[in-house]
Amino acid sequence: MNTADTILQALEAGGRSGLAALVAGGRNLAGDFDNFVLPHLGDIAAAITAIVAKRQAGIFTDATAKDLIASEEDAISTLVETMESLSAYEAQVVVNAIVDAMNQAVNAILGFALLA
Amino acid sequence: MTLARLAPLLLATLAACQHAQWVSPYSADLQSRAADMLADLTAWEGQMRAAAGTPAADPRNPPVQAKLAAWRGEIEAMAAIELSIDPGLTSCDALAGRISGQLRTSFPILATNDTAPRLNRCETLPDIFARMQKRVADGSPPASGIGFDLIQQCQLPIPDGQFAAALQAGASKPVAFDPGVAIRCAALFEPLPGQAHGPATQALATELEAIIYREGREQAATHG
Repeated sequence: MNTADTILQALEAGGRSGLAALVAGGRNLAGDFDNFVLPHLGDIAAAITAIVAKRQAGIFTDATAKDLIASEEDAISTLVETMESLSAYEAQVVVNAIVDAMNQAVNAILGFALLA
Repeated sequence: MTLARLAPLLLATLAACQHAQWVSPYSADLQSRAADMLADLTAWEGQMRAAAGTPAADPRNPPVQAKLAAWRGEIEAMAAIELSIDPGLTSCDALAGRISGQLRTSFPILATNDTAPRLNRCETLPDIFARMQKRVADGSPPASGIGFDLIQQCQLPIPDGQFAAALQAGASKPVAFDPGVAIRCAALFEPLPGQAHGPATQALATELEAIIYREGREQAATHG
């Protein structure tokens, strides 16, 4: 599996695991998630893939890579918050699940803990 | 009436609100401004990719600083429009925070009880304009945002005086000091194949697209 697929799968799995309890509770969250969140998670995964590749090649410094990835974390929060049926707490749970999955994938690919 | 006697009523209200949300009216102006800024961002990204390694892409170049300043102004204008079309949302979020905090202080069990009712946020995308402002920051501390990334990746390794002379000689002329700057700078703006934006602008583009999506959804709800 290439880096882009690894990161995209991590983001999607994080999102779905964050939403799993709500879906199991009978909430229908498919609309905004499938229409807007999922396609844009693909864009974010592509950006993170580029950041990781350029950090590995020494083109980005650690500081640049961290700032760019932090901006993608903000974008993940924005994406999740477009889902109007989530409460603030539920949105935070989903964001945390996606960001945790992303951090683990990025650190595993780089081979060191760039992200806490 | 004491808070203890009010608590059941408040909790019932909170429970009823758990899945409800106020939705601000559709704003064609907000949607249009977000679309215009997205187009401007995309065009600027292409210019920066082409100018990488020259004084034109250096964050000390006045047009680069002016572009970030213009976006800060545009984001502030969008935030003001959002506030003006439904000023109740801001006070609603503040009130929700106060009620929730007061209840959890008064009834500590709520702070640790996952099943306790929680207030929804009053509007989708509650922090979006603050996030966007952070992204178009000029690079001054705290070190983050496009301005910071430009300093890290696109600033030519020459002092200010020499930079001013290079700018006068021609902003788009490459400066033959470190060819690596062109590669490092262009990397901020190069998208992966099939993608529209590079790493420096991807998050901001997503945030603008989220505003356009939300306003489109509200337009459908208004006219549906």
